[in-house]
Amino acid sequence: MDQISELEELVLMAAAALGDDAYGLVVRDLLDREGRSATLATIHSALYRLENKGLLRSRLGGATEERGGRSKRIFEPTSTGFATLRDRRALRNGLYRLIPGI
Amino acid sequence: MATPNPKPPRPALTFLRVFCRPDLFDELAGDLEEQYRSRYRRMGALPAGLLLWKDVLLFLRPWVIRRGPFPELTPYSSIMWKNHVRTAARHMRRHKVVTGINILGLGIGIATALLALLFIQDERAFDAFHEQADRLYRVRTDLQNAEGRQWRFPGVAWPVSPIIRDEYPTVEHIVRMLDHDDEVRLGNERFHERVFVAEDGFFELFSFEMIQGSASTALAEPYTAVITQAAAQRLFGTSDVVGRTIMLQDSVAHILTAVVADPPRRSSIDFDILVSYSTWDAGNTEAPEDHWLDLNMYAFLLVRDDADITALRTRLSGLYEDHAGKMLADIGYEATARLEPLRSVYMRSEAGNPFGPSSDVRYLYLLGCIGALMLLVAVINFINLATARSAERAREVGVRKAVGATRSPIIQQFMSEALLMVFVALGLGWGMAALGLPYFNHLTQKALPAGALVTPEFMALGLLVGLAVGVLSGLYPAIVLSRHHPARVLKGGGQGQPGGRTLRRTLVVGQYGLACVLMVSTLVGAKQIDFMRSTDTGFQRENVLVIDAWRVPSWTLFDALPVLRKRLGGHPGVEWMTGTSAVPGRDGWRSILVFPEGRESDDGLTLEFIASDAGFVPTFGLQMLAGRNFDLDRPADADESILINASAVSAMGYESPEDAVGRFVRAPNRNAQGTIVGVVDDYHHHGLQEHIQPIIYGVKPHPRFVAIRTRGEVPALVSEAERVWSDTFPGYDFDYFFLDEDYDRQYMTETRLTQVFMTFAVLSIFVSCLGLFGLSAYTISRRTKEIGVRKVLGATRSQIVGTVSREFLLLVVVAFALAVPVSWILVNSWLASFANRTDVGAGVYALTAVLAVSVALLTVGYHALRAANLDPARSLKYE
Repeated sequence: MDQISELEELVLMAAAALGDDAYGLVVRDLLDREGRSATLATIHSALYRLENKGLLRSRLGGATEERGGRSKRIFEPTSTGFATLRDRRALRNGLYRLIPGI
Repeated sequence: MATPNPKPPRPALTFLRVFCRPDLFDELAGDLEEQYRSRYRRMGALPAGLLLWKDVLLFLRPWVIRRGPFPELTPYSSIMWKNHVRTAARHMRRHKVVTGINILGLGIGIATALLALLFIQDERAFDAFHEQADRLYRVRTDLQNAEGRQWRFPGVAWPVSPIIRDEYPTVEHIVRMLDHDDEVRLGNERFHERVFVAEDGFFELFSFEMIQGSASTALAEPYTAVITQAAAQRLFGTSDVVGRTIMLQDSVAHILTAVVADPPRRSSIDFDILVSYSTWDAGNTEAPEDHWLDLNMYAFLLVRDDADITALRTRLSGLYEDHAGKMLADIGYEATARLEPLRSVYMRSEAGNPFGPSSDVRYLYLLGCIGALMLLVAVINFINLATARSAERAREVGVRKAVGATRSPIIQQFMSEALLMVFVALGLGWGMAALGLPYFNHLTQKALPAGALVTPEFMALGLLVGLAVGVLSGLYPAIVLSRHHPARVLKGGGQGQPGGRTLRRTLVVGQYGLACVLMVSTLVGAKQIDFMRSTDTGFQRENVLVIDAWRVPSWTLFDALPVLRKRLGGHPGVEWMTGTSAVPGRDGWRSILVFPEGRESDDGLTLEFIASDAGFVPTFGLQMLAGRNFDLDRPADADESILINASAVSAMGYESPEDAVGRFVRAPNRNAQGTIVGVVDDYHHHGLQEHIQPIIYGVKPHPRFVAIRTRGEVPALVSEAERVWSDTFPGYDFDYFFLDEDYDRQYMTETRLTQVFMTFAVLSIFVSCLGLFGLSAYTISRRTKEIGVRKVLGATRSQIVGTVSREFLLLVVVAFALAVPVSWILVNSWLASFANRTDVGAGVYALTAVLAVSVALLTVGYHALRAANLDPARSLKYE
């Protein structure tokens, strides 16, 4: 399995959370709301890296007036992506259980 | 309320479109626009716009940037690149002359820019070696009299430093210094070293490296001194001298407490020996608390980290007013203390610097401009020739395209040629800069090490400039040519001029215009210097031998003057002699305050004082306008008589020289006080850059020079004078010079400046000519057939040369026409700084025009003649 960075993990989670309308800007805004700020360029880089690692797949989708009529690139986790998220969560939960008083 | 549908700033997205991979553009731009709108609603147009730009710039990442003409380096493409470079080298070999011209021109431009940059970097680095440099300041005094005249002094009045120390909490430390012109005696040997007085704490403020001794106590005790390594070597032949004794002021013993490394080359405080300030305190009995008019104390401050500099400045500017404002106003002055960062003392202080070198920031700008312009000219040339030659290669491109080359390899081919040439030129430029460095150092009076040329920053800068020039000069022809339609090109003929003709002409005009401006500046500089040297100065400069007795204490010299007069006066070669503090061309004591009789008692006047004697007027061939000269037979002259010059008569407010004679002039500085017994006609005591200032002469024991008006055999007299000198002052060197040569030294700055201009003028003309040469060669090769036809139809050779040269001459004429107003403004603003100046005159412009045109004609004419001599049968054969 590929190593993924902390930011990539968060982006992957956000893409999974946003369901079928996850594109660069909304991923950025979601992370922003949850307290992890990043620039658009960083988010886009992470999305493409995840796609190259096979954890996300993308398609071009809905253009809206709001974006000057330009199409978005919509990302969704692949089955490997979901598996990675589950592995990560299991690993973390396992470690949390060992920490006393948290 | 904002518009519901705001559009993001277009340039940002256009920029994104330029660099971003086309397949990514939509999604990125869409996200950016959407984000922009939500931000627009939240915070308004400007912040949203700025943030948008920031986000666009952040997209400058490798994975976003489009693979333009440079595809990724795969093994395959590296073979292709090798091929490109090989083709480029082959091409350069085939066109040796044009390539050579191109590279040489660019090399010269690069070398010039490099040297200019080196100079600027060096000047800016002054005093940067002090660890606390950014917290160090000097306090300067600006003096203004009732008439609004201003003087700037690098020092402060004596009472200022204690006040700052006691009342200014933001000043962490203050160190006082005095300029102490003194010689050092060791046994019977005398050394003239730069001796300053510095207060304890000097070595805590300034980062001079201690070799022996302790920084904190070196200058604490009275009668102690610190010496530099080099001075220790000169005096003792060893640098292990702590505890040894030197004599100052002839017989006062000082113990050496420390040895420091020599001050770095770029230090505005450059000393050999520092004497502790407490020495001065111990030997000085009068309290200097009320010396508000002695501005010869220097104060350096170390401000605290958290000091509010603006507040400190404001408080300091009122210091004189608060403590001595009334007393200063009574004599008609107003003084202001100003804070100067130590880093700016060397370059930006008009007050000067008594402790070491100082410079003028205007030279920096001048050199920077010239360097940049030279580089620009060279780059223009390069691009010019590249675009001109690109036309010849249209056919090559046509063939390449016909066999299936796409645009990008063709562009790459041109780029690699341009880059290859640029990098050869870079190497050449570096080499030339290294070779030219000694000459450049001589011009600028600097000691720049050659090693500075190869620092990483410089290399990086060179690479950047090279890349930029290469890309610029390669890109334009590459893009134009690769557009060519192969079929049309291969048909040959008919495609006419390639693009960029207007551009080329504009560039030629620009660079030739610059050369003309530099030429005019050089000529005017030379003319002004010549004018200053040949104008009548009002005194006789020739046949005056001056002995410079700076080593001899002045009262000793003064007492010995009668002896010298007796022993030398009888020599047939001596017409007159005088002992004086300032021969013409040397400074007397400037800014002496006097109160002439008949003026209001608060209406002081500052002028120059020169200590002299009865020999001064005849030795320098001056005219008396009224009254009498000093008289050797009247000892009372020394105590109560003064002479003034004609300018002083009007400055003091007297009607005529006769009216001034017999008036009494009162002066706080007793030397300048006395009754006016005579008026000397005006003469240029200082260079012609200045107006003639009022001067007072008095017979006082402060001579430094002995001037002798000679007649007949000079060498015999010099050896006689030397004999008498060493009898009278055993152990003192006999230093002498001739007045006319020494006087002209005042024009050193202007001479050097003109030399700098001349160098650049020659270089820029040369580079422009190279450009013209290459361009005309190309034009004529394109017009060979036309010339053949003309010849067949009976055109004479001269007609052909005319036809061919006309186009270029027109460009030169236009360039000259543009250069006239620009240079006129430049040159006149420079001339305005001289009190006595020549006029620019039509002659300068005529000469420049003739030079410009004839040089251009020669350059172009060579090719034109060759073309005219061609056998038409041969040039028309090819079809």
